[in-house]
Amino acid sequence: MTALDMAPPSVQQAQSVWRLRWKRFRGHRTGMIALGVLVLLVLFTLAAGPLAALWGIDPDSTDLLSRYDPPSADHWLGMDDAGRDELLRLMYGGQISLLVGLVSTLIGGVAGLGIGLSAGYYGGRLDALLMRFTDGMIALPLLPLLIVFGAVDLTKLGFSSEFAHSGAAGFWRVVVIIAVVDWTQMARLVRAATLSLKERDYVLAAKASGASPLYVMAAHILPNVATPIIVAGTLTVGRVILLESVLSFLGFGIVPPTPSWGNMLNNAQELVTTAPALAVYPGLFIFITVIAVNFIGDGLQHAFDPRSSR
Amino acid sequence: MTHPVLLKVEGLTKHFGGRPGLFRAQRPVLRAVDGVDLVVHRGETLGIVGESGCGKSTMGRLLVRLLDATGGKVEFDGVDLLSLKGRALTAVRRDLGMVFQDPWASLDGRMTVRDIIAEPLDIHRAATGADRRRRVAELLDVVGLPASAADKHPHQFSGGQRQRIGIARALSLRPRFIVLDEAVSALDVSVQAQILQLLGDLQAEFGLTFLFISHNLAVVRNIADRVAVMYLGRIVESGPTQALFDAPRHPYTQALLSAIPVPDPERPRRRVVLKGDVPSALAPPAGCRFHTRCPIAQEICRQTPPVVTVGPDHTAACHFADSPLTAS
Repeated sequence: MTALDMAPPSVQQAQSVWRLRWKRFRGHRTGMIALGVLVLLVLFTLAAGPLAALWGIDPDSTDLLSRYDPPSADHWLGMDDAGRDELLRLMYGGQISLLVGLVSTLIGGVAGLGIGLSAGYYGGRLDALLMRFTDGMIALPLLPLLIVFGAVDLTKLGFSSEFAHSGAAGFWRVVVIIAVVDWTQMARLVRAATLSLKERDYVLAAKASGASPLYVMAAHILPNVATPIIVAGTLTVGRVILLESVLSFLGFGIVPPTPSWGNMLNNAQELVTTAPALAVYPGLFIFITVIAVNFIGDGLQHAFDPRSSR
Repeated sequence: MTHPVLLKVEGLTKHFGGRPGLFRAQRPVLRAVDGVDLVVHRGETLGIVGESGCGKSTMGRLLVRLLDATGGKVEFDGVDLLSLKGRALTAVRRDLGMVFQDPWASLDGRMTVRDIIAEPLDIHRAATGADRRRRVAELLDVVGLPASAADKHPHQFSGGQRQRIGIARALSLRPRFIVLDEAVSALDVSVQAQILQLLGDLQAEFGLTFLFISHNLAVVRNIADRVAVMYLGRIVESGPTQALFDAPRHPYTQALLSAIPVPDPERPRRRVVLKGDVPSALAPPAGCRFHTRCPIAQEICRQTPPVVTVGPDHTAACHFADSPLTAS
């Protein structure tokens, strides 16, 4: 070893991988804009509580005399078909929709991660079993499945009827349904990545020193599949918000009067000739969210891939 | 070689495929390693040479228990290595090290050099805190890297430096036996020399025993005390490096040696050119495995597998190892 084949110290300054990625993400303009849009959306929905208190409006109280009122100084986006403030309902609905998107993605992602990791790492019969199960889930037609899950009577599962008819039950029902049908993509993605990672020499080196499967998965496989997981996760958020609106459209989603963008859009379908704006607003928010999350996914893909230029 | 035996391999076999699974059809059996007998003495370097696909890497992995053998026996310092399980296996792994070919693939790019080198220590809970830091600093010093390297990531180093990191990792539990699988093949020639020098120094300093797997005969001649030549999953010839290179007894060894480029155009050369390709390990030929390509093959070679001819320290699996036909 001579001093010659050492790079100069300045180049060798250890730069944390995450700082480097953040720098690359910041360089991705549409990704940064999308992140800003998403932050604004979250702030917008979080403003619902304070604004309702400030204005003294109950978003659930109906006023049949002011149905379809046009926008005014008191009600900036007017009133909906039951005489409720449209703006406040959009804000509250956004909280539900964004939360459903994040929580379902998280639960489905963790389930898919666990299944994909064990199938890919252990291989053999476990792999065959888990992957045929996954194929089965993918082969099931989505709509009938959603309808069946949506029709499950929670009181028969041992929940109190008070809970079964509350808004929280509707929220968790949606989250669980979506997580149950949406983990398959993550599982296949993680399995494929694990299959290639477990043959890497650094994994063999760890095994040769006596590393347990759990150690290898935690120390080597997981950090190295983080990239595709994060990217796939962002793409899932957008899909899940749309799925929630499908569920609400079928009548199994969030139970009225609790608003979500999905059930607001669903509710406005039949009013599209009398009050088109009521369909346009929630549709627009879903659209913006999905686009924003997709662009963030794009940006992350760029940030995590050292070979991508620009 | 008067040193005591550290590793004794008898009839080591590894077959891939075969058994059909629940959703998998029966696959043909690939005989990657098919009855290898070897002896490695304490403190020596045994070179394993052979073409790609001859099973030398598979054998190296069997010896550090990265793969489970199909059959045979491996005795490491009096312990039956292949039958070990659980804790006993984990314990014996401290004595076994491995260095890989590709220094870009063998280090996890997401870990710091400190974590990479200390990984075996972490797995065996051998050192923590200040002790761990001290051990990493020592190991870096031993392989000729500055202590400041510990907090950097692998991508900040050159190929030779990365291979030094890989060697430091293999040394961290102070093993007695290290398998070097093409350890210098991915490096520039000038860097190869440095790494070989380092390996020689380490061997002298720590009394290490090496199994040096390579397809590069010149490198093996440089580092190995004894050499074993592999062909289609079997050892065809083994002996002290000098004797084997000066007077190869097996026609395959003769062909390999005659293919080494000589940097002197004036020197007369006798090339032994082999015909055809290596037969598939899925269906190795009957009799002597080399008879399909052997320049001196006779009828007996097609029918009877040759018995290893034992000289004082030199073996060759050829019916004509002693006959004038093979004299070079």
